[in-house]
Amino acid sequence: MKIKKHAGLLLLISLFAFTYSVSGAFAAQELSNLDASVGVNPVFTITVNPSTLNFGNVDPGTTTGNKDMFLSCVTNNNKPWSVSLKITAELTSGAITIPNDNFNWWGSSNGSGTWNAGTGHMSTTPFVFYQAGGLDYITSPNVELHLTFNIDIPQNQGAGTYSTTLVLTMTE
Amino acid sequence: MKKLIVLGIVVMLAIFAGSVAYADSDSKDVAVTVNVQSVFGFSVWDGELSQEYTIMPGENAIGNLHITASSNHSQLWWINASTDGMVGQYNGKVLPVEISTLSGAGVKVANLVLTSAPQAIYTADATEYPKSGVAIDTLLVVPTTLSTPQDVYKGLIALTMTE
Repeated sequence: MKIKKHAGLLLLISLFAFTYSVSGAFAAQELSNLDASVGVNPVFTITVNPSTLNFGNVDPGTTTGNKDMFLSCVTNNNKPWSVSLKITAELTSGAITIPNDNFNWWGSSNGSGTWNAGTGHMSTTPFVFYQAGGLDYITSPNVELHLTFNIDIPQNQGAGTYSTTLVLTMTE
Repeated sequence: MKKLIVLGIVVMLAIFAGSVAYADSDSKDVAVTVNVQSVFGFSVWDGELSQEYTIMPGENAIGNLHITASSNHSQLWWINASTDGMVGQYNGKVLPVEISTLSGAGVKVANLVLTSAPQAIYTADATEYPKSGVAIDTLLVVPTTLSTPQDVYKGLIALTMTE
């Protein structure tokens, strides 16, 4: 008799617990939409390595050793772009200069664009030597340009340290 | 209406300014240097001068000195010459040496009697500095007379390039 009473009580408790859990499962829900956004910054840079070109000591009537330069071009603008080079003035030491025609350059790229060798001589007028191809408009990986330079020192060139500035520009 | 036109212009300008700002550019400057070494000196090819040969009294001993000078300094340079003369090996008599400069764009000399004191035999022209390989040919004359004693005459000519 006592067991029956306990069993009834247990059944009552179980029924209450089940009802509570089921009612919990049917609790009201509220949905909310959140707007998520992220702004990707534009990237458009050219890096140059090394940052100086020093041809060292050279005898007149000889050609300097070759100097390599590596350019890395990065953009995510998805637009056509190009790279140009120029020097701000002829190589100059005091009042003496080395003609631009004696300052030679050539190179290659790993990009999908067009390499323009031009005359192969330096100029104070910007010269576009690389025109990006469609695959370069968003660079992944970076477009690497490899430039090499040397200088033919004329036989009668005056002694001295000649200097100028080479400008490399990436434009879209 | 006026306001609308002004507004239109402002909008147009804003669009134009926006499109200009969007054209991107990046640039790097690279310092370039090269040091051209100093060159300053000359070489001499003495032709017949170092050879011993025989002349008769009253004849002139004639020789040539060929000088090749180079300088890439932007300064005037010249070549001096001096000698103690041609000395008889047995009689000690001294014969004079005359020099004439035959080539080069600079200042030359004619029949200059060399002495123990250096004298300029060639002074460079402005077009010869800087210049490599300036050729200066000279004529050397050692005159003798009928009374010049028989002997072997030897001498040294000292040449110096100076700027």
